Amino acid sequence: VLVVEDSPVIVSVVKYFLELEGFDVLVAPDGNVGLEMARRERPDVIVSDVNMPGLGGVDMVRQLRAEPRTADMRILMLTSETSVESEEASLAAGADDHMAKPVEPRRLAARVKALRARRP
Amino acid sequence: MSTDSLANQNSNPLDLSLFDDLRAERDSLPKDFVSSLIDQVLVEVTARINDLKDADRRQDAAACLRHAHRLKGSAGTVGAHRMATMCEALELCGESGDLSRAGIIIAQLEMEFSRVVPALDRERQRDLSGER
Repeated sequence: VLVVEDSPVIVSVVKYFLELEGFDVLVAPDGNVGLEMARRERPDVIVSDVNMPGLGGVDMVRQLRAEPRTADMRILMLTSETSVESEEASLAAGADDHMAKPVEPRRLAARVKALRARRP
Repeated sequence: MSTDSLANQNSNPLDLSLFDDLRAERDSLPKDFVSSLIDQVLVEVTARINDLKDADRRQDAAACLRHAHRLKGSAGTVGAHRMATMCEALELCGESGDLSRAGIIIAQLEMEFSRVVPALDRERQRDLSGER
């Protein structure tokens, strides 16, 4: 699983609970690094923040979906925005799932497991 | 002051769900995980509050929105929900471009953080003592 998130606190929590479920976790601090790591590491699932410095999560998803090598990756977006518009923007860009912060780590791990199981 | 707001001030400033979950997994946690996490919270929140003060000083609404948004996510994740709510108010200031109330809200945020710090320290002590 690749976690793209700029908050060290959220990274620590998410990484720990995903590792507890047996996932190998990679971390990128923003969308640009996330994009590069996704191309290079080909993770099964990406968990990404929406608002980050540099390339944001929604733009990163668009680019991943546009490239044949990364187009089929499963992507879950995490955001502090609770609006329907924010969720629509994530899903319209090609994200498979969307969760609002605050992060509930066990719920997040369950969603990631489900996404991984759906991988073609 | 109303009874509700007094009760609110006296209640634990931290929702302990995350720390309860971590305690439940104590055997599989790295030994200093909780302590390191708390250190990260202290560093990250302090940095974001300073960013917010700077944004207010420069009357930079976009920066206020950005920093409030970031702090809301991390504060909420560790259970500091009142801080997260104050960040929402700051987001609204940033979105509207009107920072006239931002300074007051940032001061309230700092005050709330001063209540969260000892609560985090209690969680650190519970972890160090091996409490489940």
